[in-house]
Amino acid sequence: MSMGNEKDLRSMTPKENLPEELLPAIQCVQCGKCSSGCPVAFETSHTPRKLLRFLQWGWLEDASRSPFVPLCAQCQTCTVRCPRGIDVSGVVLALQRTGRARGWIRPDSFHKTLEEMIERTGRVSELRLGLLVAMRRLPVHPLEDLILFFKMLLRGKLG
Amino acid sequence: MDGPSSKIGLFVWDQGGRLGRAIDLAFLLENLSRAKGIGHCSIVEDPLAPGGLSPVTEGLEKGEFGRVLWVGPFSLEQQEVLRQQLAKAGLNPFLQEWCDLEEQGVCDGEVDQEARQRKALVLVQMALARTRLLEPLVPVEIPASQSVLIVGAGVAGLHAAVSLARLGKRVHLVEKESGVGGKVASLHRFYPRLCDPLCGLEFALQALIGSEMVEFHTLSRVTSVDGGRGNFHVRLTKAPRYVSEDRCNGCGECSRVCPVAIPLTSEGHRSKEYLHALTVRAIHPASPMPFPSAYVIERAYCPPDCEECLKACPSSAVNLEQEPRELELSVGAIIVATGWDPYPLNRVEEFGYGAYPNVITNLDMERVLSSNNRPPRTIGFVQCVGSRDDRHLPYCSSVCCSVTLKQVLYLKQKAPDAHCYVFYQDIRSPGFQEELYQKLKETEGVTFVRGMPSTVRPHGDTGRLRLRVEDTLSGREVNIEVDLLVLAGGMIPSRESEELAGILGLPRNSLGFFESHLQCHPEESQRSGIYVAGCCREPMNVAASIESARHAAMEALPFLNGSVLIKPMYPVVDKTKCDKCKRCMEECPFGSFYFDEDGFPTPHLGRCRQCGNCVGICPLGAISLRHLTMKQMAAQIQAASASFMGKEEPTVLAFLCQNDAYWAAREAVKRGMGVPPNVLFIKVPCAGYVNNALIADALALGIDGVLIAGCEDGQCHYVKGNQLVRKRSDDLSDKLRKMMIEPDRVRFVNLEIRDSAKYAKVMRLFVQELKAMGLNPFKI
Repeated sequence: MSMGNEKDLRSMTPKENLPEELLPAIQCVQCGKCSSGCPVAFETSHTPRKLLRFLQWGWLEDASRSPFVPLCAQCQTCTVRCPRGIDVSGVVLALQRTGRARGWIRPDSFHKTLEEMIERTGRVSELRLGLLVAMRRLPVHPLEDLILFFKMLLRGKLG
Repeated sequence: MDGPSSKIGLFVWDQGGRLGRAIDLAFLLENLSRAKGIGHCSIVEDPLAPGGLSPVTEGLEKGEFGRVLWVGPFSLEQQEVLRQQLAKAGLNPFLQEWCDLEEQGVCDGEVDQEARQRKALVLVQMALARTRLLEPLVPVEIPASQSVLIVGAGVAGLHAAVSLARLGKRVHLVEKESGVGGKVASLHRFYPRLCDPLCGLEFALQALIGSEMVEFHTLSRVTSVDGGRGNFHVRLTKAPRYVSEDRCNGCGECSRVCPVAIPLTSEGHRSKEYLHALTVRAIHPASPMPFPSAYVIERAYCPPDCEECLKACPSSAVNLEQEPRELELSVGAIIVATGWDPYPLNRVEEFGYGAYPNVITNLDMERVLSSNNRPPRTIGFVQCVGSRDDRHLPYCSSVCCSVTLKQVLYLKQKAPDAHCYVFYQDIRSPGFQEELYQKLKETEGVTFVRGMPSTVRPHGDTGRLRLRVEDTLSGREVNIEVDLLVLAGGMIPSRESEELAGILGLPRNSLGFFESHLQCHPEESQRSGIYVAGCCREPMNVAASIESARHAAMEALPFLNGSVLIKPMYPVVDKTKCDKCKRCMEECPFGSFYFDEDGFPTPHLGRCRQCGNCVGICPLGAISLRHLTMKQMAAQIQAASASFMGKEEPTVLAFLCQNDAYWAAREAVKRGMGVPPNVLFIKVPCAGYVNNALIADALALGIDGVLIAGCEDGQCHYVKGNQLVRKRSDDLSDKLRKMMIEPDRVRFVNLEIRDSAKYAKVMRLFVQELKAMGLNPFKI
């Protein structure tokens, strides 16, 4: 928890600061159901609940830069569980978009490759994607992905 | 037939052979028919069937017997039916006794038949011993007043008065202020419908003003009360108003000439422009509500020799020489509705109440809202100030969250561009309040921050206040500046509650609120005939106060009917034994004892709840409940001392509280939970009934162990009977040691109504321990 990050709140109001698609965050009651059901939240202390709280304060940039935003798997569990009917994964998606548009998030090699591939062909080939990402990360990239490659191949996950 | 026979008719209800299968009834009856005092002894078919009672009624008519002992598993309802049926045949309901062999474990097939047979005999002998000593009793009717006293004319008091006046009861409404209305009259709006409280109060008041049944005693205080339910004698002192209530018509000429202005801002507070400086003249209309319509003079503020109002009054109503008056009333019941005071917030230093002019309470905020001035732009609300805090008030005042929600809503309506911050630990918005809470949460310019400011400091020369808060939900510290800080303080019982508690002898809890059985009888205080309503019992909102007031009125009603019927089981003090030690007076949970004309403690029938704790307390055994006398008990214990389990087995006598422990024990036997057959039990009205003398008697007669079962602590129906009996255990131990009996032969246990398994377990252990301890040396 960063306690040193002081905010002057006088001008902070969500409606002035947030784009339309992020406004549902206002309805959040901070029950934490989204975070307890999230399969990737264990990776970071910035859970979806906290993200929504940031938005309630109007802290758009901080929310976009949250380490959770690139982690989200878009599994929709949070959206399904939300008692207030907020499309939480939609909010995260919108955050990704806003963050990208305003230059707060810089896409990593994986996302870049994925997007390029979809733009070019309209579909995703895991094999190609894997290879391209591995190529991009060379020479730093270790052998981990190669092991993963064989594992996925064995289970028929590559096509 | 000359007078009722003192012989006993003993009837066994076999319930279709259930008892007959378990024990040899013929043997039982043969043994009993020779017992002392038996006039008739037989088995009856179902006595509850049509015509089933004829053997009993015939026997009564012939004069074969004059009292009846029923042996069989009669339920309470069936007992009541029999009582009523036989009353028609001329039998006093108190000349019947019941003996249920089944609930004592006589039908337990796992026990040796011989032992069961003997146990059954002992049990019936016990009941017989008691039946021989029964006395015919009739209820006592005491005349009662039809008026009621209501202390406090706030919203609770007024509504209680409306209810009772409507039912034709004479109401005396006592209020310490010059006018009615109480705290609610000073509110701007009240939730949930957010209307003006004056309208609601006016509505209640209209119902009272026209009524001849209601008498208002303003500027009055209760100074003494004696007597009991049905007949309270109350003394009031009425402070002088200096204006005649009959003559003054409220024209206001006097106010116009009065030279003195008194500021109305709350104590110790420097007002700011939005707390518009209200003043009143020394002679002003009654407040908080201008009813009664007569004006009142605050003489303490009058300059010497000023007689302006006297000269100005066109109806010569002013009387500057008025003296305080004493008043005596006789009432059947008292409703206490003395309300609340705000917690003094200057004690919660960190928020700067009293130090900074723009830190105000939520009650002050009501005034800000009702003024026409524009409210400030940024306003902070701090919830739970001093509440839920072990250093101040350890409880939740239950209304402050809703009050803040209401105030935020009004602020936003009044000034849509105002920004409100609400600092909270938890927002409690019960019921329909949740809707308002959610609505406000989504309103632009309303921010709820879960976190309490730890410091409040003025920011530069702007006069604004700077707060540092951790928003615990985002885990970040934030700094906020506000123009006005509103502290939601808690409720404490009013000063008058404390005063009145002394006068009425009403017990209060550790927080200062009046004690009551909060869940089952919320309005019933621990003094019979006195009811508590509204915030003097527990913090509550206006709606709940009104409900509790109406409920209190309903509870008081039975004592306002001109007479009160008292059940004849009340205690009597044997004056030949009593040495006036006053233990009964001190320990009676309902404070019902007083000194009669001979100087002996006597229970006030109107106050007594017939729990028998005085019987248990009396060191000389001089007090008896009339249907459960010490003699009857002693006879029963003597009969119980006959050994029935064989020479080597211990006998246990249990005294069970009839409210909870008895039912637990009954269930344990019925469900076969393994209650040892060595146990005999006697029902008592409260564990506190059991006098040490009775326990010593039982042990001296050779009973190996005595167990006393009361309710769980804090659940006693008579406040503390279960604790009182334990308090006496030291005395008992000394007494037993002198008799060379191990004090361990006496046990106390707390049982709830469902603690059947616990009862069985405790009994098994107790019997085991007694076996290890060896038999009672007094055993014959």
